[in-house]
Amino acid sequence: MNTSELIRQLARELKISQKTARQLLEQELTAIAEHLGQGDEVVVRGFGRFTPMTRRQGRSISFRAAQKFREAVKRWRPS
Amino acid sequence: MSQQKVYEGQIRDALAARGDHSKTELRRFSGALFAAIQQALTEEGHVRLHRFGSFSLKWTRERRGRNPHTGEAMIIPAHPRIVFTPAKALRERVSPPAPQPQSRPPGELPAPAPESVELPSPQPEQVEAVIASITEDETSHAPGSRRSLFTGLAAMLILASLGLGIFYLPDDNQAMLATASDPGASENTVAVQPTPASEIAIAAVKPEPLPQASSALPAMENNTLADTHTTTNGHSTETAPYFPQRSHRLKNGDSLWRLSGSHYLNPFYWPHIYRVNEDKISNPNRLLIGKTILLPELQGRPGQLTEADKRNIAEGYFRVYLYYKEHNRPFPYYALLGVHKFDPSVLDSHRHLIDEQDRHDLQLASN
Repeated sequence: MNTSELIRQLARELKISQKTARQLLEQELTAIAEHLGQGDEVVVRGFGRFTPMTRRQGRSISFRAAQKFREAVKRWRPS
Repeated sequence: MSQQKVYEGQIRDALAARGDHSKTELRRFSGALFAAIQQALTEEGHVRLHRFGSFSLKWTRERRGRNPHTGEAMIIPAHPRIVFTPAKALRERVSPPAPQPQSRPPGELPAPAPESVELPSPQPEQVEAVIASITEDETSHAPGSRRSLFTGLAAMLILASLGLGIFYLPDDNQAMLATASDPGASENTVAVQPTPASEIAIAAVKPEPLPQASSALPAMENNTLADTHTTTNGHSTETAPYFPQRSHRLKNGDSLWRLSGSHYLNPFYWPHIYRVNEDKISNPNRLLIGKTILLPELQGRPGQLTEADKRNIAEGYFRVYLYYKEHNRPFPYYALLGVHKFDPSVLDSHRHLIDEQDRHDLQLASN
């Protein structure tokens, strides 16, 4: 299900226009997103909670860098 | 950064204070919204909300764990899990995008990528290719140099760990299959092109029906019918099927691969859908938008399929093989590999329908 299907269904269920449904949905979701952006945890009763979490620093390989390195190795000559 | 708990009711109150909508209206709406998300999640398996994120189901395999109260070892059964993936807009609101890593002067060792740069996960084949060629260059160009020796070693290490990673893919069952049925699978995902005029656009492409699979094989037809019959008699009297039967109206973007992934949580079961809907789908790689197909039931859960489930899926793969063979698709034995993985006995029962060459290729591939 995507946003437009959801809006259609909600409009039908609540007997409101699709325009209002879209407006309400956007308000609701942006409000949640705003709070998440401030680092708050948003709790929706009976549904779940959205929590922004800090991920630890990690290592990964930059594949573009590997490509560059390979080219550099090709050019390299012992001096 | 303020870190506090905010209840959705508080958010609604703040919205109501703006005056566009009343409190009751907002409450009614948000109740319906989250109920609709839950319902769609259980029925379809995924909900995508534009610029917010998507909810989907992932299958978690059974694993060993401990009871946190008693410390007793136990087996946590396999179960579906809800996963929320934030959309780009939401992700960037929470953590602004990190600056791009600067390029380094050539000839210098590439340090590990700076922290918090997220990389798109590359295809394993590509990775191996890149790394393999690094090692190649190393050995051929600069033997004896200390730096190159070091990088060579590092590359070897990475290669080894990657190799391990590849072999520890999900079920061995599926890992093997992934290599086998990928060509068919990828075709499936692109099969239904986005069409502006939805209804009939794809219908025109391939009008000819499937004569062989439907008419020339009466014996097999009976066979499979009998199979499904035993399924219903043998098991379903006591236990309800884990994945109940459902009908689905095909829409833009659907493919058997994706439907199987969202309905059965495992895309490799797609021939199961194909077999039941053969009268509606002639080419499994092209679906007709607007048609209603049946998503048949599966008794077992992914990873714990019953024998009858496996046989049905194997039969499905066999139908795909017949289709590929009839339409001269390259490497039809890939589909046979699916039959082999799910239920090898199906291969024996249809022995007379399998080409000599394909049987030979299958043997090579499965050994």
